[in-house]
Amino acid sequence: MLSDDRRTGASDRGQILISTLVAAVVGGLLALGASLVLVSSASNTNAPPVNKPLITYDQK
Amino acid sequence: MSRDPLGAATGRGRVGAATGRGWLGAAAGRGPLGAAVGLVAGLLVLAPVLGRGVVLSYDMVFVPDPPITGSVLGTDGSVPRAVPTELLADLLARVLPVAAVQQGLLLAVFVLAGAGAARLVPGLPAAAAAALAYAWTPYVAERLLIGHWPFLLGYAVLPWVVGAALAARRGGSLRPLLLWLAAAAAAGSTSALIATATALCVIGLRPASRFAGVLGFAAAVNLPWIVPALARPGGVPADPAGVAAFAARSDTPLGLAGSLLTLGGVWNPATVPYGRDSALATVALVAVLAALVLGLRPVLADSPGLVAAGAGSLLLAAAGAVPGLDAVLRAVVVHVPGGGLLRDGQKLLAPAALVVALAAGHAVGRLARAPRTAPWAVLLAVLPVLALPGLAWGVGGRLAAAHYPADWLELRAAVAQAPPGEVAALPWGTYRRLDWAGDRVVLDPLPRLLDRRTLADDALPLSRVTVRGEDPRAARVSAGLAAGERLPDLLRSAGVRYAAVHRGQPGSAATERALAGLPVLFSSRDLLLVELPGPTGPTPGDRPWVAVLGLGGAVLCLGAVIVRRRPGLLRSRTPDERTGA
Repeated sequence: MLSDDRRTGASDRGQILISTLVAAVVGGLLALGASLVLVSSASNTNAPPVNKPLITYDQK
Repeated sequence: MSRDPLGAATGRGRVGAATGRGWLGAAAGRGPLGAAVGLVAGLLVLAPVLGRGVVLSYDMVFVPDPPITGSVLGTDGSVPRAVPTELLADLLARVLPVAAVQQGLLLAVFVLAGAGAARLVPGLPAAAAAALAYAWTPYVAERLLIGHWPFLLGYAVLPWVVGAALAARRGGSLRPLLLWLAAAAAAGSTSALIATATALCVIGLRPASRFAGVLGFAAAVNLPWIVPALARPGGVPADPAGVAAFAARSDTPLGLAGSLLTLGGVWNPATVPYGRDSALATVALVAVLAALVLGLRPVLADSPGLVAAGAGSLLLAAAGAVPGLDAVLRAVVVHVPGGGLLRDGQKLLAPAALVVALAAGHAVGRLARAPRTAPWAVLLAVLPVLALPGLAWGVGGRLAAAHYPADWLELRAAVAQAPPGEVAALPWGTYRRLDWAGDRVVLDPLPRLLDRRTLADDALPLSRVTVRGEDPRAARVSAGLAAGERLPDLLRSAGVRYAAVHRGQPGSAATERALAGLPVLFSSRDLLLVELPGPTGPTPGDRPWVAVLGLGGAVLCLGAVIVRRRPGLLRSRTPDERTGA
């Protein structure tokens, strides 16, 4: 009985690899879009204060 | 070659065990693929800052044409946190623009991390998945935001250390392991601690000579920061308040355990990437659990030491926040030399992140082998990105690049032309907001910029508590200011000749009033430099022997490994050789 990797041929593995890479790129682009949305919404609420308070290590 | 039920090489009784090769040695294709995945990830993260100046974020401070000061060399008696990493970066900045050096180092983190993780799993799908899972984590996002770039370099080097340790354990040469441990040492004390501990876990206690040799070499190449730390008058005192202040904390709705398990949990809530506090954390947890359920077994079979290191790093990361363990950690931090390295335990999560990434790679490889489950492999491979979109585009736009205004360099020139004397960085405070760099919180760049010994506040002010620094002269200034002493007298008694004031910061107006009437050497919209005439108190002298001993010792040991011609002395004995078979 052949193991799983023997049954999966080189062309299958190539297709899987290409699928993985395509999905990674698509996922990255999705992440980029989501980040931009998050940034634009967050930037509205985190405007720098006019009078700067004491600066601490845990301030944004 | 024996194979476990997952179809992965198990590391026992196979060709690789005798030759030091196997899937670890035959890394062709996986390393470049991992590097490519890491490069894409790095470009996605760093795209908004590439080519646009230096990134200033919390503790990440790069300055143009950085001077090689006693702080960088470890000779001025300060705590050698930046030794030797900043020295190496500064030397690079002698031949390249500092922005290129910084961005190259940050990009190298992703490429090295991706390539290193990819080489540790069999098959290209697994390699791509492991690379992405290791390069795209909350740990990377949080440490990037908080500016701990040396930790990230150590994080990137760790899979290479593990790969070399695995090869050595199987009878291969020790030289690659020693060289990678030297690379980790170049990334600073925390990186070296993580890398050395993980390597020792992987190679195991036997033979004892190999264990001792690796440990001894690691100690030698870490002399650049060990010597200054040991030679520091008064040692390296640690404020016990720092244990609670810098303990890991939940940055997700999953609680502390869930946050750490999903490789986040940094103490600083201001450096958590967008999305971590949302339902996306559940996606991250699903990704980690799926990886561990489907892929941990071959990792455990190949390297139980690595899995143990990962589990240990999780425990250490949580220790500061777990009742009972926090008291133990506090005792270690305060009383054990070097114990302060365990403060901010979440930084130690790197081995756990590597275990999860390798498990993810194995899991994806396993799913990809069967056509019916291939779509699940693709999904599992990209889950790290889907769970943390906030890492993209400069960690959600929170990394920005900037160029230093001309007056900062003019101030440096004015200080360079002034007669000898120490400079104080004012207003008295550790962090600044630079309006020309996005008004983000950043460590005061002046001490890095000036080619003089600079006295600066080294306490770490937090919202609820201030963690004391280690410089006794800075502590005296802080106490004097709190007692209402006159600033010029206070600075003079601390040995300060010049005061550089950063205008527009909290407390700068009061500082300027306190220095009114003193000779002005330089003045601009942002900066003021005045002289404090009159006798000044003593200042601690530089101790060049510290650098000679530390850096010299490390270079000698490293050189001995590089030029060693007799491979037998650096080769681990195989099990057969050890038993005389």
